[in-house]
Amino acid sequence: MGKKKNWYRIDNAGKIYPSIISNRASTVFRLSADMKERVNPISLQKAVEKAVEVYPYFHTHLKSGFFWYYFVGTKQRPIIEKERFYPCMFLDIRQKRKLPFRVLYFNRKISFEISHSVTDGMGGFIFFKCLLEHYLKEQGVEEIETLEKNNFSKEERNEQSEDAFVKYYKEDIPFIDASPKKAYHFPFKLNDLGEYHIITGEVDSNELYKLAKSYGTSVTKFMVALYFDAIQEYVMTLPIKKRKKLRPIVINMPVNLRGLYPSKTLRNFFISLTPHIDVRIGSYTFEELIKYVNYYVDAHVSKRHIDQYISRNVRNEKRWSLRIIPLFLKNLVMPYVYQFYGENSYTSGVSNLGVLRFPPAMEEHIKRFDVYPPPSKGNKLKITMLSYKGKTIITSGSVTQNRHIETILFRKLRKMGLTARIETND
Amino acid sequence: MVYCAKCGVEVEERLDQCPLCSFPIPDIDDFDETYEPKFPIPENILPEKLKEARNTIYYGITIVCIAVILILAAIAFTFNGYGIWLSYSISGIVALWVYVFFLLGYVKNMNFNLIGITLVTILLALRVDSLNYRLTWSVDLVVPLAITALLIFKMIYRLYHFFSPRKKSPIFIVSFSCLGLGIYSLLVDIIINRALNGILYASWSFIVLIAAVATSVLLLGLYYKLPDHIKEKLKRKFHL
Repeated sequence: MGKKKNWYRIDNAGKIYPSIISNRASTVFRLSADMKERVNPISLQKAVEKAVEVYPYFHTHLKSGFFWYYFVGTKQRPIIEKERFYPCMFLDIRQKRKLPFRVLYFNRKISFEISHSVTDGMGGFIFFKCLLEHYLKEQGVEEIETLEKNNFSKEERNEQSEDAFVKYYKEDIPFIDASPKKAYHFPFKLNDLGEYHIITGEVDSNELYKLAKSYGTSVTKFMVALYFDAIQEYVMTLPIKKRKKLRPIVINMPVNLRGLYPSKTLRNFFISLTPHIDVRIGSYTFEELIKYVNYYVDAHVSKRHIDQYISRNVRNEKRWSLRIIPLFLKNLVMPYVYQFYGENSYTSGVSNLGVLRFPPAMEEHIKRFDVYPPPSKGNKLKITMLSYKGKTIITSGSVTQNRHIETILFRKLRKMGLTARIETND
Repeated sequence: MVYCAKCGVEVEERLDQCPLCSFPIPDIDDFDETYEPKFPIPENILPEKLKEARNTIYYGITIVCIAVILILAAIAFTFNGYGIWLSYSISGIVALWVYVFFLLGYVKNMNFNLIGITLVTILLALRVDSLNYRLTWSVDLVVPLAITALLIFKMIYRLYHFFSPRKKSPIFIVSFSCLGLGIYSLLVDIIINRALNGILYASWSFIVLIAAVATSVLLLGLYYKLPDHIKEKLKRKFHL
C-alpha cells in the first residue's frame, strides 16, 4: 500500500451532518443482526479488521479543513465493544482518532452503528454484509465463499467513493422551487439526554405485501399512507383550540437513488421526498391518503424531477458564497440552517431499506435483521423498515416517553388483519 | 404467545404491560426459562458526564478561592498589615464562591436559588458595612433593594406563568420584564430617597414607569394584533 493517505470529500448530503452533531442529534443509525449462535468476540474483532481492508472508505477519521470537513484514511485498529448503552448513542466524530462507526455485540446480536455523514442505509448495509461474511468465515462456516469480490480494482474503488450527486449533476436545468413549509411537530416532552427508545413490530412480509396490493399500492407507499393516517388520528384527538393552529403534516421519505442512477457509491446517495397533508382542510380517508401518496411518489420519482433535486443540492454546495465561509462559521450556523430547512420542515420520516438478501449460506446463520433510525430532536419519532427472510420489521425510534403514534399505527395494522409482534429495548 | 387485549399486537412474554399502550398483561405461568435478553440494561452516562464537568469546574474555583485567601492572609501576616482591606477581600471572595455555587445550578429549586442569591448579597453588604462599626448603607439601601428585586423577579415569573400557560412566547418575557423594570425603578427611587432624605418621594422613576408600561402594553398589543405571517417572520428572524 502506498504511503499516500486517501482522503475523501464529504458527499453532498453528508456535508451538513458533522456540523450538527449534538447530544440530542447523534446522526448515528444502526443496523443489527441476530445470529443463530452466541457472538464470539474474537472472531468478530478479526472480521472488523478484515472488513475495513475491503472497504477502506469506512476506515477514516474526520478532519477539519478550512472550509469543509473531510475524511482521511487511517490505520487505526477498529475495536469492537460489548453493548452497554442506549442504541445510536452520541458519536463525536469531530474528536481526534474517533472512527465514524462502532461495532457492538450483546449475547447473539451484532450491531453496526455509523454516522450519517459517511454513508446512508444502503452503503452501511454493504459494509455490514461484508463484516458478517468475514465473521461467519472466522467462525468456521464452511460454505461461505467470498461471493462478493473482495479485491477491487482501482476503477471500482473510485466508483465506491464517488460523490454520485456530483456525478449526475446537470448544470443547466432549472431549480425546483421548493420553499420549506413549516410542518406540524409532535408536542411530546423529550426524554432525559441520551435516552432512546426503540419499538420494533414484526409482520409477515407476504401478508403485508398482499395488504398493500389490495389497496392498489406498494408496501412503502402503504406504510407512508398508514403513518399519515395514524398521525391524523392522533391530531384529531387534540382539543379544538390546538387543532385550529395546526400546520401541514409532512413526512420525509428518503429514496435510494442507486436504482435510478447507476452507481456503486458507498456514500450517501438519496433524496428526500416530502409528501404532506393539511388536516385543517378536513380529514382524509385512508383511501384518499393512498391515492395521494401514490400520486406524489409516482410523480416525483422520475429522472426529470430528481435531476432538479440533485441540481438544487449540488448547486447550493457549489455556490462560491457558501464555499468561501470558513468552517468555524459554518459550524455556528449549520445547526440553525438544518433545523429550519431540515427538521423544521417535516413532521417525521419513513425510511424503507427494502428487501435485504444474503447468500443462502449466510441466511442460515442470521436469524433477524434490524435497522434503527438516528435519534432526532426535531422529529422526536422516526420510522424505518426492512424485510428479511419473509419478515418485515417496522422500527420506531423515539426520544420521548410518548407511545401514542406507535399504538395507533400498530392497532390500525391489527384492524386490517395484520398482527405485529412487538419488541422494545426497555 | 402473549397479546395485548387493547392493541391486538403480540408482545414479549416477560413484560407485565403493553409496550405501546401500557395496558396490563396478565401473568401466565409458562414463562420461558431460556429467555435471553436482547438488550443490556442501558447505562446512560450523559447526565453523569455533565455533573462531572460541573464538579470539576467548581473544584477548580474552590481551590483558587482558598489559595487567594491564604495568599492574602500571608501578606497580612508578613507585612503586619491586618486591616479593613483584608476583611473586604476575604468577604468578597467568600461571597463569590457562594454565588458560583448557586449559579452553577447545584440548587434545583428555583425559589431556593433566588432566595439564596438574595441572602448572600444581603449578608455580603452587611459584612462590608459593619467594618466601620456602623450599619448604614447596607440596611438602608441594600436590604430593601435586594428584597424588592427578589419580589419583582418572582412577580414577573408568576405573571408569565399565569398569562401564558399555553402560549409560552418569549415576547411575554420581554413585556413583563419591561413592566417589572418600571415598577422596580419606582421602588428604587423611593428607597434611595428614603435613605438619603428620610422622606417618601419619587421623581424620575415616574417617567421610567410610564415608558416601561407603555412599552410592555405595546408589545402585548402587537403580539395579539399582528397578522400571522408577520408574526412568523419575526419569530424566524429573532428566534433563539
